[in-house]
Amino acid sequence: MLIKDFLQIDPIEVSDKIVNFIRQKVEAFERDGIIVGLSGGLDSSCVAGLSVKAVGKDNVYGLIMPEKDSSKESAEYAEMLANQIEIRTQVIDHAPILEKWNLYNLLSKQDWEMGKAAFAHKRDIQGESAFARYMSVQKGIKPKRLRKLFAYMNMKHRIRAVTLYYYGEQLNYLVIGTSNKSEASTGWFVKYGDSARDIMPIRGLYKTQIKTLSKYLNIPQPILEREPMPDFFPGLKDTFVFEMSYEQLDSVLIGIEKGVPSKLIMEETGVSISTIESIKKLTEITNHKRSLPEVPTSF
Amino acid sequence: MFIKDFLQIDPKDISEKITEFMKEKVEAFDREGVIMGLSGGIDSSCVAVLAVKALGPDKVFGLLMPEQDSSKESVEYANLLARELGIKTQLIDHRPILEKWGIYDLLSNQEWEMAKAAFTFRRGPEAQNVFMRAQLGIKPKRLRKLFAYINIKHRVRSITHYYYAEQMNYLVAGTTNKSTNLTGLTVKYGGVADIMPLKNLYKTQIKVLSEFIGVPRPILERAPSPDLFPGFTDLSVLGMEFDQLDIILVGLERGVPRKLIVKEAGITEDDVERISELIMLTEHKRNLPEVPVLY
Repeated sequence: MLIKDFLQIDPIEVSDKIVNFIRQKVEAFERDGIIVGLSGGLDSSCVAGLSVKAVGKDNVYGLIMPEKDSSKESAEYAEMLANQIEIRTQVIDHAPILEKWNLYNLLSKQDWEMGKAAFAHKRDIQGESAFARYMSVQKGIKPKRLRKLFAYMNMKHRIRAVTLYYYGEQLNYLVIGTSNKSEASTGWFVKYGDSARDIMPIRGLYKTQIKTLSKYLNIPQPILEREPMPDFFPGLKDTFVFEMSYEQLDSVLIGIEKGVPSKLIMEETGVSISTIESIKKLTEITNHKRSLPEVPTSF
Repeated sequence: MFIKDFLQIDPKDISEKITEFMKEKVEAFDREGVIMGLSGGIDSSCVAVLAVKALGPDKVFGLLMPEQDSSKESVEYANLLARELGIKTQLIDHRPILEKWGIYDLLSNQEWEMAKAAFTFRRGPEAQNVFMRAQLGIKPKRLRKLFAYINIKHRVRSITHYYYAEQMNYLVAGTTNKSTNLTGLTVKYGGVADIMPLKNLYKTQIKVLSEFIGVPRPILERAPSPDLFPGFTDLSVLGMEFDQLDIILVGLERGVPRKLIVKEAGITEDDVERISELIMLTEHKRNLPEVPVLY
C-alpha cells in the first residue's frame, strides 16, 4: 500500500455527490443560480463544470476579472471553457478599480524587480528559499518591501470577492468558491479573498484529485495541462513556492493527515524530512486563515 | 429576577479581559499594532478605546472611509474620538472607488425613493419585512439591487482595512457585536477581521462598557446606524430598541419561556418569533462557507 493510494477517488461518485450538494444549497439559500469567477485554471473550470451539471447552463454565470498583471492566457482559457460548457460570461477589468487605491504605484521599480527575482528563481537575492520565505510571512511580516508585496498581491483576490458578491446579489445567485484542500491546508490563499464565498464544493479535494475529477468532466486539455498559478504577480507559480510538484505535496499532506510516519512519506515522495516537518508546521500556523475571527473567551 | 439581569456585566473586569486578549493576539500574530475602521459609532469607538488601553495610542491606527451617502456626523465623531485618544487616522474617500463599479447609477430615482420610504416614513412592518426577506434569496429585482448597493460599501471597507494593515503589519480588529451578529444585521464578508473583541457582548452591554471606558458622550448618545442608506437604521429594520432586542436574545439563549420575554421586553409574541426566525435565517452569515461531505 502506497500513500498515494489514499488519494484515489471514484470521479463518478465524487461528481454526483458534489452536484447534489450544489443543487441542495442553491435551494436552501433560495437562489436562482450560481456565479463563479473564471481564471482559466483547473479549479474554477472544474467548479463551473460541476455547477452546470447541478443547475443547468442557463443558471450559471461566469465572471472574468483580469487586471494589469494577469496573463492573457487566463482570459482566453476562461472563454474557452465558457464556450465549451455554454455559459454566459462577463469580463470586468479590475485594473481601473485597483488604480483607485493607487495599487500600481505601491511598489518601487526596485521592489518589483526583487519580487520578480524571488519568484522566478528558486532562491531569492538574500539566498532564502521561496518556501522558507513563504513560511515566514504567514503571520506578521517584518521586512517592509515584503509587506508591500503581499498587500499588492492580496488586494487583487479580495476585490474579486467584492465583484462576485456585487453581481451575485443583483442576480440572486449563490457565490461559489474554488478553493481546494491542498491550498487550504497550506494557507495558499488570501484571507477573505478567494476564501470569501457562500459554498466551497471542492474544498475537500486535493489538487491531484481535482485533476482526476476534471478529466472525467471533460475539461479542455489545455486547462488540464496548465501550470497552477495564482496569476497575480508575473512568474509566481504554485510549484516554485512549494518547491515540489502537486503529486508530491498531496502525498505529503495526506500522509500527515493519515498519521503516516515522516520517514515513510520521505521514502515515497522524495521530499526531505525537514521539508515535511515544515509543511506540518505550515498547516498549523495558517490555521487563522481557515477559522472565524478570534474572540475573547474569558467571559 | 429579571431577564435583563443576565445582561449585567462588570465593565472593569470585561475591559481588562478584552485588553489582555488584544495584547495577546497582537503578539501571537506577530503584528506591530491594531487597525480599525472608525465610523463615529459606539462599537468602533469602544474597540478603539480598548485598543489604546491595550497597546498605547502609537500602535492604533484608525481608517475613516466615507462615501456619497455617509452622514457628515460619522466623520466628525470619528475625528472627535481620534483626537481624544491621540491616535493616527487616515481618511480615504470611498466614493471614487465605488463609482468604478458604477454603484451610484445602480438604482433608478424611483427605486431610490421607494427604498427611502420603506426605511423612513413607513418605518416598521415594511422595513422589517424587507430586511427579513433579504436574508436568503431575494426575489423582487428592486430589492436585490438595493442590497447589492448597500452591501458593497461595507465589503470595500474591509478591502481597505487589509490593504493598510498588510502594509503596516497591523492586526485588523473588527467591531461586530452580539446583537447585530445574531440577527444578521451585518454584511456577509463586510466586517471581516482578524479578531473580534466585542463579538460576545450585546449592544446594551457595549454601552455600559463604553460609558465606563470613557467613550465621548455624543457618540454614546448617537442612534445606532450602519450608515449605508439614508434612513436605514438598526431601529428601522429591527422594529424595536436594542434594550428590547437584547432581552429577547438573552432570553432565548437562556431558554426563558417566551411569555416572560414578551412581558419583560414589552413586545409581542410575533416579535419574538420574528427575531428567532432571523437568527436561524442568518446562520450562514456567521459560519465558514459550506462544504460537501464526500467520504
